[in-house]
Amino acid sequence: MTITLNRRLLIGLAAVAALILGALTLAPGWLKASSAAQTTPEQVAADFARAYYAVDYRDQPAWLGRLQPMMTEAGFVLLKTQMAPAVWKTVEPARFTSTPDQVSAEALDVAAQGESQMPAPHAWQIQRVQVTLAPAARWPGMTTEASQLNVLLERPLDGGEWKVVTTLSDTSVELFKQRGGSQ
Amino acid sequence: MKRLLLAISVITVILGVHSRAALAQGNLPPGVTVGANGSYQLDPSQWAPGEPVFVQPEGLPSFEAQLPGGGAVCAGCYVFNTYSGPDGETIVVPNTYTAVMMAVTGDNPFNTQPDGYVLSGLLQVPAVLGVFESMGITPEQMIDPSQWNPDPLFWLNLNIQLNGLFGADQIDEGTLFLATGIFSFNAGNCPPALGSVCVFPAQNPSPAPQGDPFEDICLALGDCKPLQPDVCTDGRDLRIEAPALQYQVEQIAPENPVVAGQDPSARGVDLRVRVTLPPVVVSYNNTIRQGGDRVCAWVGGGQGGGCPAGTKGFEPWMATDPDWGAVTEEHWICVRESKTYRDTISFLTVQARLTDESIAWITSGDLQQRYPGAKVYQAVWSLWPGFPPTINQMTPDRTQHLLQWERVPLRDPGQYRVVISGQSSGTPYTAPRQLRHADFVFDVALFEAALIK
Repeated sequence: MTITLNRRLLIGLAAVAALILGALTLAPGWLKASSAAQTTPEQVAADFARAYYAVDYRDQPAWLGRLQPMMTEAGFVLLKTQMAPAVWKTVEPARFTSTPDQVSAEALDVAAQGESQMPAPHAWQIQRVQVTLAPAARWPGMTTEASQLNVLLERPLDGGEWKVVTTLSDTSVELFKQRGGSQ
Repeated sequence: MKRLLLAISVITVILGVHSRAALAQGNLPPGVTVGANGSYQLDPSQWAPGEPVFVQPEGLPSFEAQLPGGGAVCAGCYVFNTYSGPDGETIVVPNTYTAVMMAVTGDNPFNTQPDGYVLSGLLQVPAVLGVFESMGITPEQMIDPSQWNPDPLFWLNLNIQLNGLFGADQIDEGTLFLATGIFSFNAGNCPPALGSVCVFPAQNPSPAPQGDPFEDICLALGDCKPLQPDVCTDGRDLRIEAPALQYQVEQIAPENPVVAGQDPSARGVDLRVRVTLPPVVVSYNNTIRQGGDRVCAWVGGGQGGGCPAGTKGFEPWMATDPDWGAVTEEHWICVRESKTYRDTISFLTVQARLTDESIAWITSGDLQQRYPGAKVYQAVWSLWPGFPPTINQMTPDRTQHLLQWERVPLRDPGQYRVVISGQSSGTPYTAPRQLRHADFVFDVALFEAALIK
């Protein structure tokens, strides 16, 4: 077989190579931007709140399993080792069950935000989320169907998804405001 | 976070090496061994897990994670897991965050010398050597973390990472855990910070202390110096005044609460609780040297220069005798001194409990006869922690806590008792006190309709 190289073919090959190279280089950026656009901190916080308030006292692993993908690794450890046992002390004796469709959640505003440099540069935000429950889904001890939840999220400064670190009491939010960030 | 974990791993390895050394020295109590990887093996037949002790660290930030329904968990408290031995010994294992912070701050909530330990202070060695430099913390800063000024997210992540290395369940199983330090206290040597955690077996009472323990504490703290003999006629006369804990419980409104189920507005009841811990005042005698009059005295060696006329004890010949001079007469006097110590609130719980009589009234008494099938919906209401308070004020010195709840929707009629429990931190002179109060009761009414012919 004989292949004849001419200038038009060489230019065409170069153009295709450039196109492939460019696509490979830029594609992760497009994907990242697209992915980041799909998961705003408001959305993550609201999704987390919905899953946080939907619990079945008989199935702690399922509750943890729904929350884990939305959380940082460290945050999930805190949830599993310290928060879940405290939650189950309430829901188990009360045999409490609520489903995600009984919970609505909407991010209200950013209570505080800032950047953290140690140990790696991160952006963080505290989203104030309004949670509204169906009357039958009122948690033990709750007097109304409405509640506000402070959700702390972080994301590496060089990109990536917003993930939930933990929830915070109002007092702890003040600590972040005073020592860490702007409102 | 990987760097942080690496740092912690280095620390753990170093600690493991030291742990084995400590074991060889016989520091560890029986029934505790150290594995090849530096982990501790606890013989569950000898050591029974006890309640963990939570202590709020002073000067370091702590965070509360918000739970659904209104409760919170402390994500920044010092946590000590405890175990009791057969002869009244107590093992105390700080969790990782606690151990690291104890090591680098030098803070130690125990004011009693442990009988055995694997010192978590060893962590300071790698810290000062710069293990934490990858996190932006220099060895100099590591000496005094209260001078750090990192952002709160760093603190929180440090806390989570260190505490999350080993889950609580790993320790509670009592079989294998990677501890960051072990303190052991023999029977009779329970530090006040541990409160009622220590168990004292009745059949094996601890030997009586050799001297006066309060005198030892007073001397150790520098409050007292050894007394000069025969100066204070009543000796040290050490007195410790620990005024009674004060509780204030009020049913604010309404005057006659009704069960929430019968009230369309679900008004419920408003309650207020205030707990105050007065300071502990310790008073004692000390002897101090006091300068008195100038007197004529023998100095000798021709150094006196003669005693001037008019000086106490003067004789005319002393004026020209160079061996005599005027000196200030010194003597010991007895003085009464006192010192005040804060006794702070370590933890507090408040519950509203339906009384046993009311439960019986509903389930098997008059109400049951009138309304067959009547049942108790919720006999115990955990108000703190648990039910979101509308007022939550802790004084900065943590000696007073004010809590108020509004519209608590009690669902069962009858008499409720407000039960306050908790523990104080204790002081060097006094053991932690139990917070106990259950005197306050209030009624929740039920509307009854009667058909009258």
